[in-house]
Amino acid sequence: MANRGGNSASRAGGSAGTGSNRTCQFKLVLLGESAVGKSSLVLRFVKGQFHEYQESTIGAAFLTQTVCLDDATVKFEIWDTAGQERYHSLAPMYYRGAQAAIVVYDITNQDSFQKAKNWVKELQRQASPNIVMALAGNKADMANKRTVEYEEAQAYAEDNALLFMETSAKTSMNVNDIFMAIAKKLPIGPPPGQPQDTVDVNQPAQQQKSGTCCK
Amino acid sequence: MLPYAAYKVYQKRKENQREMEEALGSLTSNLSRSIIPDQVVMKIQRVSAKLSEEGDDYIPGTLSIVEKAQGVFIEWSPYEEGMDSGWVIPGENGQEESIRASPPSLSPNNTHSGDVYSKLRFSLDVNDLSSFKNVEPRRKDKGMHYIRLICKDGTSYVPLYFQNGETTSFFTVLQRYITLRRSAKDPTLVVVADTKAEALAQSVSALDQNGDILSRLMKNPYSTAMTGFSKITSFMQDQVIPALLDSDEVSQEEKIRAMRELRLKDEDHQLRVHSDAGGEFEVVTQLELPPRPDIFRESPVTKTLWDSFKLPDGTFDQQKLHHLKMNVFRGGLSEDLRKEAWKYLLDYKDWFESTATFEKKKAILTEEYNRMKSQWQSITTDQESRFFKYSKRKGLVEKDVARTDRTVPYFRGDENPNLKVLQDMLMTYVMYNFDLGYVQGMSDFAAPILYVMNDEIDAFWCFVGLMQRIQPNFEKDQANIKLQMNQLKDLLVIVNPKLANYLEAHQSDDMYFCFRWVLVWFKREFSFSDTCKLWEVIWTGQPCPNFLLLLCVAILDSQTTIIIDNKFGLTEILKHVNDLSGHLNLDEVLTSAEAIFHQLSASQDKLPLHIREYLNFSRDENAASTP
Repeated sequence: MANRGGNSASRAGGSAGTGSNRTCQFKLVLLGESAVGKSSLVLRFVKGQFHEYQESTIGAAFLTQTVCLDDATVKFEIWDTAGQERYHSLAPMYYRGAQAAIVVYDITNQDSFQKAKNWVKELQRQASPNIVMALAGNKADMANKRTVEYEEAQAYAEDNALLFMETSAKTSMNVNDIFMAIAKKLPIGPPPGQPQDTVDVNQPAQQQKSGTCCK
Repeated sequence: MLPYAAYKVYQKRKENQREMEEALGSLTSNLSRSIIPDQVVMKIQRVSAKLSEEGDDYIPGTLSIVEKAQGVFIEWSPYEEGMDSGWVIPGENGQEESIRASPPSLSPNNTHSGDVYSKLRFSLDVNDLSSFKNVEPRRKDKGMHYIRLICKDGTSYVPLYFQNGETTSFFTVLQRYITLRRSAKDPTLVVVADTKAEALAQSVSALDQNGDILSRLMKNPYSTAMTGFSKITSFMQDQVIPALLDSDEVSQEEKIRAMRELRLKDEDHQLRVHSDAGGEFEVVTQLELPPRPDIFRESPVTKTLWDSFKLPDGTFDQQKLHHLKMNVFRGGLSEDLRKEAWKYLLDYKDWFESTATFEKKKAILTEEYNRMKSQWQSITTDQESRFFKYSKRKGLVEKDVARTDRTVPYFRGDENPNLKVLQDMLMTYVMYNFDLGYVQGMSDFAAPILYVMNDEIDAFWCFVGLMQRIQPNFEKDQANIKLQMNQLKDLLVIVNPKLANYLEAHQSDDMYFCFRWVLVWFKREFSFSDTCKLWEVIWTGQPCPNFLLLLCVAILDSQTTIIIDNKFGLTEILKHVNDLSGHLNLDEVLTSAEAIFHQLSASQDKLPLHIREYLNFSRDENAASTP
């Protein structure tokens, strides 16, 4: 919440007051092998912070962050999960009903890339059929220790219709971008119960609302 | 359906309003984006953030309310370093507490500090505010008034202490933007009124009072509107009618919530049905537990007291052992005693084993440790390349050691030798128990033990003793965690049925938001030193097994009003519970858990069988139930 209206939000500036702006909420889950940087990505995205020795996640953490697109405001409800395989049985609880997922691997760890592929497979089988999936090759600042080639991951992502970016929670490279890219792919239809051709009786409130998010 | 006349009136008003808004809107939207600068409506100096419940680390800063183009924000930021440093305020106990302007130094009590300084700054949209704790000092001249802001998404911000006591002006300004209401149940909780929901509720009761105003409107729209509506406040016209017209605006969720709350009220007076472990249904009437007794913590057990329980050969007097454990339960251990006492509490040393016998045992265990350690140490890189199960475990341990308690001085710094000891301990445990291996959470237990023992071998065997008890929590099927979650829920149903019902109505009765508490025994919730104190209390096994679950119940019980009055749902509950980390008062939690135990103990005859079993009440000779 602290960094609301940071980089990601300001890009879509100027859309307020058009009357077409609306807020959509989406559930996003982060999955991936232990210590690939899931919590760090979320922390960078939500609070603009990075901790070198980020503690392992026990159970799950929940954070929210809002980004503004040209015609809508997307509020992400982010579930950050524990990575170790031992806690795999808890994962369905968190990805159930998720409209978006970021599967994270560590570009310096080949095994974590394999794990990421397993997560993708599991999501394809078990998650909502329309889930928007992104693959994040994190720790891109450590490219000198790279064991997963960019092209390899990109090809895999293309084959599976995943958004793909290499990210660095440490330098914040591509962190906002990957969330923005997901936001743009999410189905932002008319708000439920409000067909577009009817008069919106509460329009003033609506305008106010959108005004609070976008610059 | 609204009568046409009323609709017309509404339409007309609406049109006027829209015209004005359009005119104003084009003006302000252009202005707000380009010209109007942020306007600081109020600024209060010397509002300090308190880092954690424990200790006296306050970071002074400025609290302000700022009108921006995108909304109204409550902002707090710490003073720049070096500015206005070192001021002094009267402390809770009358003595002076100094408040620094620079980041506090790190002590073992301060695991949550990290780079707190920048972390604490925040800017919060008033529309995201759900409620806040507003706690006044018991006496005007002692202590400080503080507030803690809580967001709709469950986020709780750091407590803010007002040195100048200027809270009134803060509330007055805040009231310009949002409606505040004191919680009826918790006088320290101020809730942001949901004007739309309240308007709807009022409108319904207003319609009731007017004896079906709608049907009268149908019969004689004009006169009814004139006489009826004129009695209704302008608030009604502005808020209620549009809300009624636009039924979609009352979200489905709100309706469901309202219905659930009604149901909760009903249920409070009804019989409760509980399914017992055998699968048979048992009807339990709502239990009236006796009032909670006042419990006080005692001072830590000193070395002198501890030694007075020992016989000359170093063994403990069996008759008095329970008494000693109760002493530890009530007050914990003094720091210098931990190294010795933990060996007993963690079953490394036997209470009835003489010093001489232990020395012999220790020699064997030392040898055994070194043997297991050399087993994994002798695995070469080449061999490891074909030994995936091993190298995988090794990788997990390495990753977690690197991020366990690194803010505690004992583990701070990149080349810290204690990290290697922790790594070796955990790797040797992998060899000791290869079937279980290393599971996340274990390093959280191992680190404080190593810190207290400051000896690799002693720490290892103490860790083994602890793992003996908690190993089921780390098993793959998670059955033991699920079992404890169920037990926790059952206990909550007895102790706080209102909250238990609320959680059930909000899909949170699987209690998974307590997962972290139960898995690593509150390690992530309390400071490093509080964790040590808490664990030694639990390790005594007093006053009942599953005291850990009563601690969970006590914390949840203390959050009842916040959870319910903020209308937290599944995600907000999880977030709120996670955010309690660093802000719980250990002594309060311990005393209320003990008080709850006494409550239950006093009515044990009426408790369902499974609850008696959880708390070991089934045995009549349970001596622990009384001090």
